[in-house]
Amino acid sequence: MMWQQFTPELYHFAAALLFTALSMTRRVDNRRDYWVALSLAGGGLIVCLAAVRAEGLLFLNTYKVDLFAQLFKVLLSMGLFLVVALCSELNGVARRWHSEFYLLLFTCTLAMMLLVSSVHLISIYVSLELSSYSLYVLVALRRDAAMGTQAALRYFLIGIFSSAIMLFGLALLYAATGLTYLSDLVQVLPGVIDQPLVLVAVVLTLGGFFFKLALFPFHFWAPDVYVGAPNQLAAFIATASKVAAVAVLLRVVAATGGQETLLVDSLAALAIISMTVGNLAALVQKDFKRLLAYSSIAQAGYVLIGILCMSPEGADAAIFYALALLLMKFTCFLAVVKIAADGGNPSLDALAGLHRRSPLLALALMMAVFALAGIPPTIGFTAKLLVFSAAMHKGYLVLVLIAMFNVVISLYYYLLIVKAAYLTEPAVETPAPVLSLSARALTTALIIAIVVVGFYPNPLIVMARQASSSLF
Amino acid sequence: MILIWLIAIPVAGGLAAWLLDKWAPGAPRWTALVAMLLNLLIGLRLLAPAEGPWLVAIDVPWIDAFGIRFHLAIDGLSAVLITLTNGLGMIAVACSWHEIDRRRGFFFFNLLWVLAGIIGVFSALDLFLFYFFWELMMVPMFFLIAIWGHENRIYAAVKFFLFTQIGGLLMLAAIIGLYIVHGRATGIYTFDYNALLGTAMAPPTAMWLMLGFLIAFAVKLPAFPVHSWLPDAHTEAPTAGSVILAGLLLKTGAYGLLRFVIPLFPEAARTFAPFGMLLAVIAILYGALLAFSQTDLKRLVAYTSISHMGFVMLAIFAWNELALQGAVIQIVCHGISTGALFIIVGMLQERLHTRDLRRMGGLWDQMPRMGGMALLFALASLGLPGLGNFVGEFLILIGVYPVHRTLTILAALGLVAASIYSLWIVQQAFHGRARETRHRLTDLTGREGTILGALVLAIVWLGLYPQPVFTLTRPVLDRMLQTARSAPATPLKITLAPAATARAAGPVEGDWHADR
Amino acid sequence: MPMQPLPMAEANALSPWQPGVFSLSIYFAAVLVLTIVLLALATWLGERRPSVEKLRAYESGIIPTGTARLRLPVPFFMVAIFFLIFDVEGAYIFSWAVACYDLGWKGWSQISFFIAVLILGLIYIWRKGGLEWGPTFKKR
Repeated sequence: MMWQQFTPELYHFAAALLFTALSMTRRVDNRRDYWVALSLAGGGLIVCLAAVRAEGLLFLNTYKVDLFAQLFKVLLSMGLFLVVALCSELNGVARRWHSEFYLLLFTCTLAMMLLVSSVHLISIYVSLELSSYSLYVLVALRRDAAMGTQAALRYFLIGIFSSAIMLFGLALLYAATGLTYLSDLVQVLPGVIDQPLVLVAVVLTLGGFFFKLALFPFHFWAPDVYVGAPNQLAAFIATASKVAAVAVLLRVVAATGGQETLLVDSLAALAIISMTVGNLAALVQKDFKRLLAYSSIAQAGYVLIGILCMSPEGADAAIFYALALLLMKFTCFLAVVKIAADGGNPSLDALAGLHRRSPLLALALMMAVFALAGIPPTIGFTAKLLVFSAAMHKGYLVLVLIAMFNVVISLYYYLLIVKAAYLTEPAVETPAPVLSLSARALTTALIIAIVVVGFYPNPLIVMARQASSSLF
Repeated sequence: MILIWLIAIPVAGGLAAWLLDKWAPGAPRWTALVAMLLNLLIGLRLLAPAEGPWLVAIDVPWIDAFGIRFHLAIDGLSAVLITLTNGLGMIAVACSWHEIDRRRGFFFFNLLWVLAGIIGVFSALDLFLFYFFWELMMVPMFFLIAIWGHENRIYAAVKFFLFTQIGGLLMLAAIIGLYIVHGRATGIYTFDYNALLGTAMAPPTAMWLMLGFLIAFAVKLPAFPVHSWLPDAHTEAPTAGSVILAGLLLKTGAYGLLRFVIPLFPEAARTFAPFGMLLAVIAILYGALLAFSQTDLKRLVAYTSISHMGFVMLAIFAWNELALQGAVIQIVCHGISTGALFIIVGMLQERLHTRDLRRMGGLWDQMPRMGGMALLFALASLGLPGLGNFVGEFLILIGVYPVHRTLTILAALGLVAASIYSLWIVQQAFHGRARETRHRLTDLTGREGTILGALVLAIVWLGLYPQPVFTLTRPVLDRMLQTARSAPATPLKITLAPAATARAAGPVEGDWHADR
Repeated sequence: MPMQPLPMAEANALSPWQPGVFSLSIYFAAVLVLTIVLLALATWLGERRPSVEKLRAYESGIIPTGTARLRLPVPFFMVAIFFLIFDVEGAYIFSWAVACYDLGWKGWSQISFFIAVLILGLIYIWRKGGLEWGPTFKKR
């Protein structure tokens, strides 16, 4: 019975093993890896969906399988599937590394699945590191070696820095309470959170997750890594990686009980700085991926508002926001990948005349951008509404107003994207991005998902409510 | 069902126009015209006196998890405004028949979706749904200005979008705040308008929430300090865009004040009323003054809108029956007359390739029919008796007079200013001698004549026999006055001018401006 | 079961005003100020007369020759890193060996899995040519 609850993880582990084997065989067909990966990722999504109602505690109670974790596993496998679907022309990665690319993608997804289920400080740390290390190597696989290595090195250095801080926080947490199980910490932490030692420990611990979420002050890697990584991988970092970070942050923050105002205040301050820094920096970007990176930093700020509410409503909002981010950011990166067919980094100018060259892609990009800006009837609007109303429930009116002010700032650069795609004509005629039939189907599905979920989010909100009920 | 049709037809028509563009270049405009004609005909059925509070309503669960319902309903006021929307929508389609020569499908898609959003705004009774439509009309309008506008279009479009979004987000915050206040008080979390009416809350809370709504509507209206997007947007938009902006979008602000701000927060609105009226009077005079100093004809007409919408705001904050009736008539007539003026400017620009008043003059010789039309709508704009605007402004001034004498007199000065700038337009553009040699200009074509003729009929009819509009809207306005009055009265804290300080011993029961 | 915080540290170990955070922060600030003052004084008061001898890299009296960027064969680093990886993993196997009988077959299967993963890694390195020393002429 234990293995049934562990199926999604085992499945992805087996897939990773398969790619280890494939990487050692002689290459006959370059498309082989893509098809294998696509079918495996599709199978993974099905396995995760099938296991969504599994429940249980595994491995000496360090591993909790509940609806919350399983829902996030579905999101993660969906992210993996979508990203792999983008890899039909994996031009940003040298041919001989394709198998390794998929191997590490599967490993990273596996690690993030472990992360969302972990309820023990050590297992959280180990799975966090596993996913980070996969990503460090993945970034370095960029074909343009100088760019990739530089980004990977920067990512790695900031990563181990935040990891060290987090480890220090974990040590302090253990020193203060003598506990390592989240389930025990839930009972003890709310009573002692007002002690400076515990507070410092919690804040330092959260640092590791802030790194994953690219939240101030651990956001410095994001722009360079987005630009330096292969486009498909940047999509993965912007979507799946964020989803996992939201999940683990929710679990850990929920464990603190939400009584300590100082913790809430410091999280609120981080959220505000993150949004403001991200949005202001995004205003002046010319590179499309860099702009998306800064927009991610800002979006991380909005998610944190939902998390810091430490209420069921806030958790619902954060879960829903994670799903929204997955769809919106992925759609943006779909456009990035398709526009930069050679695997390079597109600038905003490369979008010029997109509405003529590829109306479908332009429409998808516009919907995603308006969703990121939080304009109805898109999924992004619903997500923002949930987050803001959760914060207002707790009475954080000023925070909401600051966030809304940030939304207005962000509108400007989102409008710049729309302007580039819809209003400007290219100086030199560029070839239309090639969309295969399946890519068209995927794009259409994304547009429909963004609008339909925005228009009728009820089932997903109900689902998020059920999932978050195990947190509080 | 009729409500669903009213919104679904433009939505579907817009999509069809966009898709048909590939097959036949003429298809989008015909699709759009047919869709709007159909909508107009369906909408005319709504112009009947109501039995209950609402003529028709549709109310189905939507997002249960959040207490959001898909609640649309129409009363006399909404019906009048929706008919205006359909009519002006059709005219907007007609006047862009030849003007739009690229990406026609997308143009008519945006045009019809703006109209769908506006109809939704006029009929939504769930605050969430209202916000939804409020935003829905914003994005297509952005594209209308940004793609088919004039020289400075992108700047104007972005400015328009950011201004309205700031207002919109503040309104969203206020909506959520109201939702939570009501939920805390009653335990029922809902966005429904009828349920939220009469929510009890502390005066400061009410004040803040009201300001959230008010700012959104004031930006749209536009009221004095937040009007600066309007001249740019109106000037740069294509003719149809200007017609919709001036004729309809501004009206959503007035409608929001009437429907939401004062009924939901009667107390706070009463406290704010003197400021509101003062801002309105400033808008009237300031708009008129700026209009007079413009040389760009389109910009001039845009500034007159600020002035005229000031009257509407003045009337709404005066909050008595006469003033409100005047406001409704003014809303409708201003939509028609300013729409017509924008259309005339568009036609002039098509012929002269300029909007500069200094390069016009003497046009009457070559285009007597257009000159006549321009004169008529200029007279309407200055409030000539016999035309609709006169009825509106007259009623507003009568209604406001007992509430505040000084402001009424100042507002009446706005009428004087209006006659100056209106006649200035005609004198500069059509009379005198031509200031440049120009080619032969064609007078109104059949299509253009029909468009303007329809508008002339409407405005003359409203000027001579406005009774149908009163009949339709009186029950609605009466009920609104009742709602706002039934709230417990607290004395007004802020008074504006010495005239208002001669206060009675205590608040008079039943009078909204109780402390005069 | 609800657990009480263990007395790993006193409850107010890092309280703001008790000997704790406050004195620590004073100390920290003092260190910072002292360092900055010393460095600033040194740069401000110190005399600068650079000469060839003074600017030369200090190598304990030996005059350096050649460039610092020596060309070393890449396989050297590769093998060094591989050695490091597999060497460290040995620590786990030793620790298992100490408790071999207590852990039983379950422990045995777990360490076998661990070793299998290591072997897989070794095979991967081998296949990818990481262990080849010297120039190869095989076309990849």
